[in-house]
Amino acid sequence: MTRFLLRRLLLAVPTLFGVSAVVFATVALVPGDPVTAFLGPGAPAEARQALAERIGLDRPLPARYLDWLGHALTGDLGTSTSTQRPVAALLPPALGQTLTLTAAAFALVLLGGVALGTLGALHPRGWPGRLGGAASTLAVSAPQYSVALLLTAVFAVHWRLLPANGTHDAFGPGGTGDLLRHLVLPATAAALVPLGLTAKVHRAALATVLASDLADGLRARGLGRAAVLRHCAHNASPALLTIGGLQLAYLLEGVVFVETLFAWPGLGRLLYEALTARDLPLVQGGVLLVATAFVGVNLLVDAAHAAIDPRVRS
Amino acid sequence: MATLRDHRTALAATAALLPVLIALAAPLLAPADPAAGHLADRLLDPGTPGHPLGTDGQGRDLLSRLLWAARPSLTAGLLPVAVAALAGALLGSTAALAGRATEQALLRTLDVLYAFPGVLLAIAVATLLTPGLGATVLALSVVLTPAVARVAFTETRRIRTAEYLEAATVSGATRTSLVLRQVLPVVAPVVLVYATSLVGLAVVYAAGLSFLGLGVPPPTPEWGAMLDELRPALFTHPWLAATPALVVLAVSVAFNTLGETLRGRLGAGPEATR
Amino acid sequence: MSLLAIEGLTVHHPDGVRAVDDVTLRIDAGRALVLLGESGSGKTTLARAVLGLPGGGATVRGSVRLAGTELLGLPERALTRIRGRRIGHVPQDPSATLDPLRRIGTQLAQVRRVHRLAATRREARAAALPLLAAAGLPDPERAARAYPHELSGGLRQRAALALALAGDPELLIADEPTTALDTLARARVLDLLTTLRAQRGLALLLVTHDLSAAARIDDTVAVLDGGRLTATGPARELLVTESPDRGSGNGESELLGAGAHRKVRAASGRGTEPEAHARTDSEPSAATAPPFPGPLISPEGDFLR
Repeated sequence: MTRFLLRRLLLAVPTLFGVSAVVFATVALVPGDPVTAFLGPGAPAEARQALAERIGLDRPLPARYLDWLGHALTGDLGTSTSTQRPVAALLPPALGQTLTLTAAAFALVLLGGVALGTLGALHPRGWPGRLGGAASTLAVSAPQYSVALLLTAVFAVHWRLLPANGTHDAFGPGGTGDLLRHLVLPATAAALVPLGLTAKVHRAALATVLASDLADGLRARGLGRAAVLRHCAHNASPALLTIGGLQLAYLLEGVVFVETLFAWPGLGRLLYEALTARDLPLVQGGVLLVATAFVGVNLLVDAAHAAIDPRVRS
Repeated sequence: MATLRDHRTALAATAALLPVLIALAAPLLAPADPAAGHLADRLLDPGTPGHPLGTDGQGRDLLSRLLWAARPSLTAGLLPVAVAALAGALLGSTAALAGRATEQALLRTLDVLYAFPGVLLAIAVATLLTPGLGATVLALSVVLTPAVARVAFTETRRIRTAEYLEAATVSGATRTSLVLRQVLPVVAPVVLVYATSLVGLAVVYAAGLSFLGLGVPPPTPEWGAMLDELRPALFTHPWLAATPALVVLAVSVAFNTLGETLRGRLGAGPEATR
Repeated sequence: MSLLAIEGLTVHHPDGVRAVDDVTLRIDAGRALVLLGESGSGKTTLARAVLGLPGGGATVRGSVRLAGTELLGLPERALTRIRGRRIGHVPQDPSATLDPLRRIGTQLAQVRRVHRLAATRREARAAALPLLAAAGLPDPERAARAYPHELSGGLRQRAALALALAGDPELLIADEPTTALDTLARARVLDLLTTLRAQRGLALLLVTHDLSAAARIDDTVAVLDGGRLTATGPARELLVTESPDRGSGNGESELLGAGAHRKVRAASGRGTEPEAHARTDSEPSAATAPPFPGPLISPEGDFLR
């Protein structure tokens, strides 16, 4: 088990290097010259030269990449050009907010996806299965921003049940209850697409196992319906795990719209604002963080896979 | 059974074709000029005489704008999928037929590209270019190509190990004729069906980019841009603001249903996850 | 009274195919019946119908009685108390039916617990080792700790056999238990079944396409063709008639002919008997006799692959 994980960890290293190189290269090759952006088009040539030397733009690209990578590895991601604050200080609080939102949405994804998928697998031809299938398709097709706007229109504006933005009420009671109230709408909006996909994948996987010789073998041992379903769900869980990991990654990066619409101060919104302000160090740092999280989630999925299935371990 | 299935496919195809027809016939269908509005008529409720769906913040007829918006919105959804299908099929099958080194290089590149958040990648590409339809199409093509390439690669690999391809290689068929005669007929339908299931996603992404102000510049009507324009009205006229959201949802459902029925006919194909 | 009495059993698949057609069979306690047939003859469907698992959408008519209790139409809950407990099932392919995610010992203990044969978890675990030993696993401790994929094909089949024995059943239904095995392992498993019958007083319904298996079990044989019983009788009588085919080098291939069943029946004096019956009072008592040496048909004499 340990050896398996170590091997996966080692395999992730080249991917991370590739990711960092692409992040660096994309940003370095951006049309538009940062010196002009900083000094304005009318700056004298000497001043331009001095600035280029000071920020190291006169050196070759590979050298600059190694330099940047070295700093990044020691936790120095540079200074944000739009806020004049260290990138390393801006990212953690935003990441925390995104993780809170992602965790809430992911809980909904797993609960709803497994429930809908199980319903469909148990009654493939009956109306619960058809309804579940239609609900999954609807969920998969639902754009975050559409759902966010519709939910806000209904629950925040029409019925005034839930807050439409922010992470807490300025003059409210605060605390966990307040945070949860603020989480309901954004988490639901973020969760629908991954929930629908998870439901579809789980339904297909569970239906396959339920129709397999394994299920018949379990029934022939005298196990009851609930026990057979439990064993089959266990055997269908690798597919759930794979799609779950993909969806967790999707949530980590895909909450840009939700964060923007609900004024949630997370990573997606920070990165979007950095992109529009052409704050390249912040973009580099943020994308690197998200991509690392991606690789980390994949590693986590592999580990969980190994924990579930003894055949993967050996 | 087969007839019921045919029925369902025909129904789904009609539902997906409808928005395309609407886009083509927009000038005939639209009751008013999508760009002309009177400030006196701003934010009229749905059902107002002359404005069946109401008006926007500048008094422009919402129905006319939604109909005209189908043109850029669907272009931005369909064109990237077509580009990605072609590029992905080419990349994926080439890698699967080429030697081990090329194959590994492509797979590792796909790994790295997969580690990049799709939405952010699209936003990044769109930001770095001049906002507009071209930027949206390019951004989405870049995001969708790796997924198609992976599907094409897997499918080509599957038939490469199949015996008939080995037989063709032994019999001395050239690589080009191999690709044209043996690989293409098998891989093309799979890629096509997978691509169909990506259209809904692409329409959603495209409208999303415009919603963030990275798509077609105003005053051209576009679904995502309209969402953004009507957003301030959300708290006073929630149903007006929700209309474009519902339109994008409906179009996405139509294309996803078509993709799903086609995938069902082909046997369980890969699920669109990007 | 027979332990298992099947009368007029008919199974329709949802596509209209009549997989089993008006079959009547009896097995007395402790006796064996070999249900012989080529693939598609309905023998597996018949075995599954006895367990109450005929497959999705199939309709079953007739009567299946276990020690007098009618099983057809019994509610699912009552059936779960019979499956595994009174009827053990040995599958054709144990790698498909053993749960790949649980250790063999855990799966055995679960069956003991489900059927209330063990009061505690510890007791259930302790019961696993003698079961594995009885099923002929050389190292029961290791087998109990192993996951199914860690065992060889032969050992896995024995683990599946241990699982079928875990509920202390009266009847064992073995569905092609030897197809996945090589010749030597096949003979060993068949002999083991004979030994278990003697030790535990188990009745056996062996479903197979393998003539040599029928010879080796050496009790009653029933031949199924197209869902109908075409011949029944003691193995020695039914199978002896084919002896001239053997030894001609290519003897088995002649058995592969479409008329194999009819040849068997025509040559058998008792073949016209409309029902199969493995009787306690009839000769010979194979349960205690050494396995039939089977010289008449070579061990590889597969009837149809």
